[in-house]
Amino acid sequence: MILLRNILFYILFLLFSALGIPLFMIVFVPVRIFSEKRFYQKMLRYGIILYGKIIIFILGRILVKIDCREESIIETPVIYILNHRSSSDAFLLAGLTDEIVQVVNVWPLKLPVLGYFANLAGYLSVKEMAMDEFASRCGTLLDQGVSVAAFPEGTRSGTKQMGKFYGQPFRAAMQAKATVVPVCIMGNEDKPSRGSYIIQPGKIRIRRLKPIMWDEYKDMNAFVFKRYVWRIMDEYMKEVE
Amino acid sequence: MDEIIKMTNEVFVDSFEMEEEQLTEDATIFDDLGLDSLDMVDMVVALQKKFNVKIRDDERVRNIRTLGDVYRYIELLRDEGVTSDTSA
Repeated sequence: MILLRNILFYILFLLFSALGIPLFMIVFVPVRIFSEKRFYQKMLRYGIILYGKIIIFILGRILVKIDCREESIIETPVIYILNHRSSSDAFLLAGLTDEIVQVVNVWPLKLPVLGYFANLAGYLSVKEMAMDEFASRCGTLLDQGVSVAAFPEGTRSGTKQMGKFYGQPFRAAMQAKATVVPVCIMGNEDKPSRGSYIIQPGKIRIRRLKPIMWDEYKDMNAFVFKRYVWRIMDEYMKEVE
Repeated sequence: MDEIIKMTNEVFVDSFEMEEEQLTEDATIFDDLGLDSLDMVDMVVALQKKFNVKIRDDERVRNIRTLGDVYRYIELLRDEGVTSDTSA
């Protein structure tokens, strides 16, 4: 039964992508040609969010229920710090509602079609730029009202145990004096598991935790700050799970 | 050497809020202590300040893998007469 539901999901996912992306292109290409970069990037970023929302909230219902909440009111733009258990996380980002640029490794930008859109949307390939450039690009995005979403574990943990954090997004936040919002994604470690395409049915919880303002972390160094955020997320997830 | 260990550990406790029990000689800087390459730069700056040395451009820093390597490196600097106030 699980296999059949997976087959149905993947067929619908491919059909939706095969129809939806060209349809989006019909609207997007003239905008890309005739409008300013800021405008078409905004359109593209919201387009990516919409694409993700349809996949996780509509098609995804075949297999999973998404429970998405925020623990307190968040004034964007912010730097989102997310845990990373599964390849579905890139889609689950659609649970966030604002204009977002994702921090990625090199490979997602090399993917056919999706990589093209990610490049065009200005996704940040953290391994291909020096820290100064990364921080500067994050600062510019935040100034434009665009939030930045990072998975500081760098790679999927595949389990409920979070890996250690890399410091780049925290250093960028410190430089921009940005608000940091931890986001815990829980229940997706088997949706799908590492090395598998089978999505196990169940519930995925997405929780935006209390924002961490500049005043709260201004006296920390980057290492202490990243550990501080790690602990907040770890304690929250252990409590909920 | 005891003084070097004590002073180096103080750097990790003060600058990185590490627990004393984490600071064992075979603790790896990246995996066990959780520093990344940028934190290593901060570590070097903190060590420079603590031992009053200039080591940022020293190629040997790149070979540091464990906390024990840090102790031995500082000891080496002491033997070369580069550090101050670390006579054991």
